[in-house]
Amino acid sequence: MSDPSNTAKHSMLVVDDEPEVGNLFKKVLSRNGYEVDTVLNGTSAIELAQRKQFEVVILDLKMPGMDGIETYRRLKAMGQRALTIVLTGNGGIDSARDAMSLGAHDYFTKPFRVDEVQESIREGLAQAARR
Amino acid sequence: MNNVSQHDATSCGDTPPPGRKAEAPRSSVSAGAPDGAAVRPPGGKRILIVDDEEGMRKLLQKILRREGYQVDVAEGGPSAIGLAKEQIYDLVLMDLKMPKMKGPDAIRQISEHNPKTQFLVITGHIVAHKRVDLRDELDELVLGGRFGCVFKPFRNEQVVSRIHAMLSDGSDGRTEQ
Repeated sequence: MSDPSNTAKHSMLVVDDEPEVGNLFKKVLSRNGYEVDTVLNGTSAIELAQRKQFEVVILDLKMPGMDGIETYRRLKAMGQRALTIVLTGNGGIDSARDAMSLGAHDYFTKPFRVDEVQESIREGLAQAARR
Repeated sequence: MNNVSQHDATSCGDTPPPGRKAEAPRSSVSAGAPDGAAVRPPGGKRILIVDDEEGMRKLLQKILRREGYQVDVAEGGPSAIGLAKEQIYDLVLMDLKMPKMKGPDAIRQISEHNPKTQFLVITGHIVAHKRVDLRDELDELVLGGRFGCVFKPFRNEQVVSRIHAMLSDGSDGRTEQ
């Protein structure tokens, strides 16, 4: 499990059209030192990312309107270099493969375990720190 | 909209129920946990992923490591053969269409070094009538009972459950007849 002292003040953006996903991350990870913003769609994510840099982005791939892949592309084009973890709801791998090709750190299928996602974030941030 | 269970993929051979981890999520965002029988991977099994697409290698590596397997990756047949000479793999997960060497050629060469290695091939753009050709091409390996295949598009649970089954007793990895 992540040590809060190692994850303090990491800025995180959760992009998911299911509000309970963002609420869950906010509830759990805020206790562990993350500063969590949540939005319900890609457009809002882009708007927020214009004003703020994030270290971690949790991104649902299947959303109405701008999907996760397009959101990821735009965030990268804007200069966001966040550690990105993608979520899918049905286990379909095509979009997940595309996200990994774009540089996503990890991929989880819903329903997922928050502690596993958190461990992946910790691992990814540690890797990035070593580079 | 995120919990749709789509069976849009086609796999050859009997597809066991999803073999995702049995434990209930400590924190779950939604209902719809896989209801298949719990199938835990045998400990210590080593898998080699061979695919020319970096995204696919990375994705499958993440999925299989999370399931408890030891996983190496290779971007093509020649590097896979090189790794297989140094390391015995319980299973090789291989894309059939790769630029430098055809999957079946790599499978045959890896088999020469380790006759006990099983193979699960992933292939795309196969229309129904061409599956016969694919089966013919790999007939020798199919008859040996060490070969299974999954057609794109597939769900990750299909690959995971197939690998669990193949490495548990080797009985569910054959292609459909």
